[in-house]
Amino acid sequence: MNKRLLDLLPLIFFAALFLLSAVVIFSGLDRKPAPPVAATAPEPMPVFAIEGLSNESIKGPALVNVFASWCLPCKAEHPVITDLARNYRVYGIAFMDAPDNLERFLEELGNPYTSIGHDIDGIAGSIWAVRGVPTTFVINDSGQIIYRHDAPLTPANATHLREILKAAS
Amino acid sequence: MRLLFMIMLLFPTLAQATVAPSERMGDHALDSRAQALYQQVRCVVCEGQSIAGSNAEMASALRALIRQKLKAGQTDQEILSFLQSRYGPEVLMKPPLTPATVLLWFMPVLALAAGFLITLRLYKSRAS
Repeated sequence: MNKRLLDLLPLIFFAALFLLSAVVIFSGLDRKPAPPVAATAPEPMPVFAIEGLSNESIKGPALVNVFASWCLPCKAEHPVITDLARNYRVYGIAFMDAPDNLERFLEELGNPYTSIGHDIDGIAGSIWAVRGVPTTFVINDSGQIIYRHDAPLTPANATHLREILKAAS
Repeated sequence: MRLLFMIMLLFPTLAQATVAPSERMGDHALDSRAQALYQQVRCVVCEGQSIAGSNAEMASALRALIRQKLKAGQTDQEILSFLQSRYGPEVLMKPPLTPATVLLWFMPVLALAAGFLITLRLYKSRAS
């Protein structure tokens, strides 16, 4: 009896391990991915200084938009940024962009930005902890980040951002 | 010649470990510290790869940030802590040991010990 139980022990061990893995995997599948628009606990703006922009020159309430001329989704959200810039300050961080290309991009689509920082090697973007472009941050009147959006802005997102900006003013 | 080629084939990853000329700092000690740090930092947009071997823009940006901090005289630990404070613990290739990651770190050892014990007991019971 004891011996038979011992023989079964490896089977029981691996069956338990299998069940545990199955539970973990299936509970993970049910979980919805984090939405790209995420409220964050207010945190101070990171300290950075690049040509054209630094954390000290950003006056909230405002948006900080990390973009690049080589990024097609940035081109797609440009009208939304332009619309938001009619009522709010929008600071741009041109992420890993050649100055010539950036200039052409703004000539073609218009320049809605209050000011633009030239982040040629991407250091400012990584200090802001972006995971790609475009990324947009909402800054409140005391200079804290209160919201981040890790995807291109749509008109629906813009309505939402306006509400947040209004509350932050 | 053929032998040399065959020896080179044994080390395909060495080619990736070389630093692009544009990313050299002209200081051998700093360059090798940078290289060691790149190996420890995860590329945030590519799954399971460090920033050392990635061509992604984000990886290149993080390498530039590390070089800037090295030139400013920061220690390796200061640089890694800064990256972790910005991107969270998943930016490190080796996740830090916290209550949430205890199982991750010790499960292989536990599984090996359990397997060893089971084998030992089976072996003993067969022998008796």
